[in-house]
Amino acid sequence: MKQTPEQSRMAVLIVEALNLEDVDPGAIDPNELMFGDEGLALDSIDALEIAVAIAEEFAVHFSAKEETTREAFATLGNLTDFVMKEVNGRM
Amino acid sequence: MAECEALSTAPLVDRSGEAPWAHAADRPIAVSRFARDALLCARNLPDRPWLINVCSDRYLFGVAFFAALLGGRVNLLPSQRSSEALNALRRRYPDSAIVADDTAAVPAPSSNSADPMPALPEIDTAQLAAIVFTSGSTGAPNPHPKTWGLLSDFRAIHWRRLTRALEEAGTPAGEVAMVSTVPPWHLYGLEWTLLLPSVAPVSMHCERAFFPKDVVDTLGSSSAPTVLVTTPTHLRALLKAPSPARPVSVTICATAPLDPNLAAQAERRLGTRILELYGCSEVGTLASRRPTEGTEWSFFDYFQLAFSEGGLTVRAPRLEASVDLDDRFERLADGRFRFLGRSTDIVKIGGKRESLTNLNAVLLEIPGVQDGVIFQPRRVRETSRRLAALVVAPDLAPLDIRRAMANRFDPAFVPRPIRIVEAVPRNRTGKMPLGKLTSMLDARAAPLDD
Repeated sequence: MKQTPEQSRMAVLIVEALNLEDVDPGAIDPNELMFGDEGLALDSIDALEIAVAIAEEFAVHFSAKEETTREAFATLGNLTDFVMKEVNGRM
Repeated sequence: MAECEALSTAPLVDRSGEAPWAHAADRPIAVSRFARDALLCARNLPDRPWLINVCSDRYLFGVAFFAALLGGRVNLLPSQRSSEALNALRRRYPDSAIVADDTAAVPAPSSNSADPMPALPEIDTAQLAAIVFTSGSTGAPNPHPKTWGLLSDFRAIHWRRLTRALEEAGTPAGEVAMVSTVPPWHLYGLEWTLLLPSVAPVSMHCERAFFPKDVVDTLGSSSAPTVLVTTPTHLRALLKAPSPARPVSVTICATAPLDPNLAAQAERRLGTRILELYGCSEVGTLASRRPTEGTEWSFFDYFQLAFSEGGLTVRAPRLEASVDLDDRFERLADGRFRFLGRSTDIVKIGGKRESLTNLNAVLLEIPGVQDGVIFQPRRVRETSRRLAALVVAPDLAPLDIRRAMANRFDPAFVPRPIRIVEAVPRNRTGKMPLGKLTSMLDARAAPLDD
């Protein structure tokens, strides 16, 4: 599935934050699971590093207390939607 | 600790009932309430000797853990909680049952009045309290059994060390509130967060403290002096978050070597004093140091240590057998120790150890992999010490290899980047020099990379 421009930007941020040199950001399927044995096979430390990169880039902060956070980290599409919603909510 | 050797039982909880045990949803939970919940939970436990404790709520994890002790059961604590990992554990322990948040949760008391402190029995120090699992080289996780006697001794030793650190930080004597980024089902978290409230004036914040904002908010919300239990990775992330509203009295850090520069920055940012720990899953915490004051380690007196060229042998009153570690130390004149390095191919990432030989053996077993090597590059990433891999596998993508490795090993050991190459660099004797591997990894833009 094709990435939106926002998803492409998020994909680049993830690949750079995690040093995923062997992953083409444009090849990440927005609907594919990113964590566990699937997709990019990321782990919780990766989630932390992605959160730090997103905080720096978008000033959006995650909380593990929020139910929506787990869902947000499931796929590239979810993560982009979550961050863009937060960013647009500020405007 | 010779006095402990003679004792055949140790109290489950040795604190007054009205003291705070934990904080959940910004409200304190008294020791008496915890004791009541543990007793009720013990009655509701499945009638099995082995209980796989997968409670995700920190408070309920503790309720279930202590309930298992009361009921004479053993807590099985897997490091991985995927359904695949849990199914494998159930096959290995057929007479086991899974205990999750809904099993441990007991109804809240009907009245608002304080619970009277129920009588709790002493627990046999020989009783097997828990088996902590770490990822295993052959696919099956390695079990590390812990008796109640060992855990009970640990809580006394750790509290003594933490008391000294709090005094040095100028913290007034009294209750301290603990915030942890480390889950209680890992040995480090078990020792330093789950057990301390049972004997010491320590109460645990049970809200999830994972992302920097959570940690900072929780630290700032405490009215009591705070202790943060964390890892180098989290400390680095916290440097990029706002400072907590109040300084942190003491920060405990373990699982990977803490860079002294990071330690100094974190001390300034959090207004804290860092206590760094050294330990292993086979035993537990063995030594501590102040990373901003020097690199030397002080081992706890509890252990009898034998140092050699090959590493370190640890004995302790409550350890059934001696434990051999690959870490080499030099004894200094003042009784402290300098870490020299590892004598074998063991890599330590995220507090877990794995053999490079085993990782490489599994890599070469992946269908489609013709040759390859997993190694720790000379230059390490700023945030973590991930392994890297060069693999000859013309028909596979790096992602295929990553997934195959993730099926067999803890994610911490899954290499990244994985670079598909035409050949692995070997010298005439067939060895693969680390410098060559690292430079090959750094050489980008080969068409086969993607």
